[in-house]
Amino acid sequence: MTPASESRRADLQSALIRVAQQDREALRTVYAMTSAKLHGVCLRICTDRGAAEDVLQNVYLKVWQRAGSFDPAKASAIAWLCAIARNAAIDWRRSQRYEDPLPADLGETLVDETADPAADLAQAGERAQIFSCLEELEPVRATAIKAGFYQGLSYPEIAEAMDKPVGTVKSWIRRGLMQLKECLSREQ
Amino acid sequence: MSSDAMPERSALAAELALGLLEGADRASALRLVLSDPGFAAEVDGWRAQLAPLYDGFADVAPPSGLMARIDQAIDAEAAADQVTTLMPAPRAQGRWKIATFAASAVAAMLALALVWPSPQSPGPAPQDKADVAVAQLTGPIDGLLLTARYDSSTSEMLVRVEGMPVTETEPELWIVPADGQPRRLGRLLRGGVTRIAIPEGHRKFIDPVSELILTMEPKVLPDPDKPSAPTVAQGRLQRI
Repeated sequence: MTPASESRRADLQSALIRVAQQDREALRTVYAMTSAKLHGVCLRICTDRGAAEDVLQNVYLKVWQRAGSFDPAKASAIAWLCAIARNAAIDWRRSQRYEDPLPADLGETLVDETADPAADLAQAGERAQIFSCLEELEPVRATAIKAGFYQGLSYPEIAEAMDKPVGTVKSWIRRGLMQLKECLSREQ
Repeated sequence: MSSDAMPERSALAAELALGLLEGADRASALRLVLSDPGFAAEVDGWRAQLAPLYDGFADVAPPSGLMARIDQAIDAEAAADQVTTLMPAPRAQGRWKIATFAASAVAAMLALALVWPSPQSPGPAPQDKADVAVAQLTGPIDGLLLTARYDSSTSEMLVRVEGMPVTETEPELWIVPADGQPRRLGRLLRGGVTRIAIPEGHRKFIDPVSELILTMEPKVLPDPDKPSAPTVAQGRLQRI
């Protein structure tokens, strides 16, 4: 991690801790530092611009209400925030499904390779590691895992999008995750 | 079993962390998080390992007015906390919407308060200006709902627990004030109403900034000064 990104991470963490003390200015700082990333998360999973904005608004309300439960020992600030956004977007997506199923296009699971981890809040070393571990997987396994993570798809949705039985997809993902775990522990 | 198959429990932890589970499968995995600290740690471990993948989401700037909408929504919630003050007169349509939202939030909290029987008062009647605060605690466990009601005239908190799954662990209630440090309030019954006498030193924390959280702890609490397990339900106190 570069000193610049390390200092950004520290700034974000201290702002988030101040949000827990109901510091509205700190919330604006957190928003300024993270809203593009969290909007990206909501938009990718919701696939609907208006819904993504509504979900994002609720995400920052949750951040305001729950910042007290952020534990820097367990997660980085950006990972904690992204997890809230991803869960909220998945909840929205699944709540829509019964009325109006959303299309799942796995062409959209492409990962943004242009993001510059040095300029971002990323954990640069780990980024390289998990992405290179994903590349080691059989392509179908990696695609299925990415569809779950980046699009918030469930097993049946991934199975439908890949035109395979749910059992097959489940086995791909489980084996892929096991390989991922082995790869990450090997390189640590 | 092939060489790269994963043990069922590890697979379940990974699937929960990845968000693949739905419905009954998700509910049963969440119950396992509550009942089994080892499984909970495994889920946390997977979340931490997958976290660097967040880098793969592209940045997309949100519309410029969104922070203002968030500010308004927070103000509306704050207004709902201050029920003794009159609603601001609707100056514009936007303001009116916020006031309506606040009023409905107040109504919801009042309804919650009415669920409770009035406190038994064998002694002198409670003072007129008794402060009452209520909170509703929810979390990822489907159906788990806690409602809490604190009455300053008795310094007691009544906590009703509904939908608690069967676990080896015990429900423990904490209050997290503005400093972010949880203070233990006590162990709850798994169902029905638990009456907790709030120690004098903790009464100052009963305010709208504080959050009540529930953790599922081993029968012998490892550390009475801090939770050892993840939060499974939470909610903010509101004065009524």
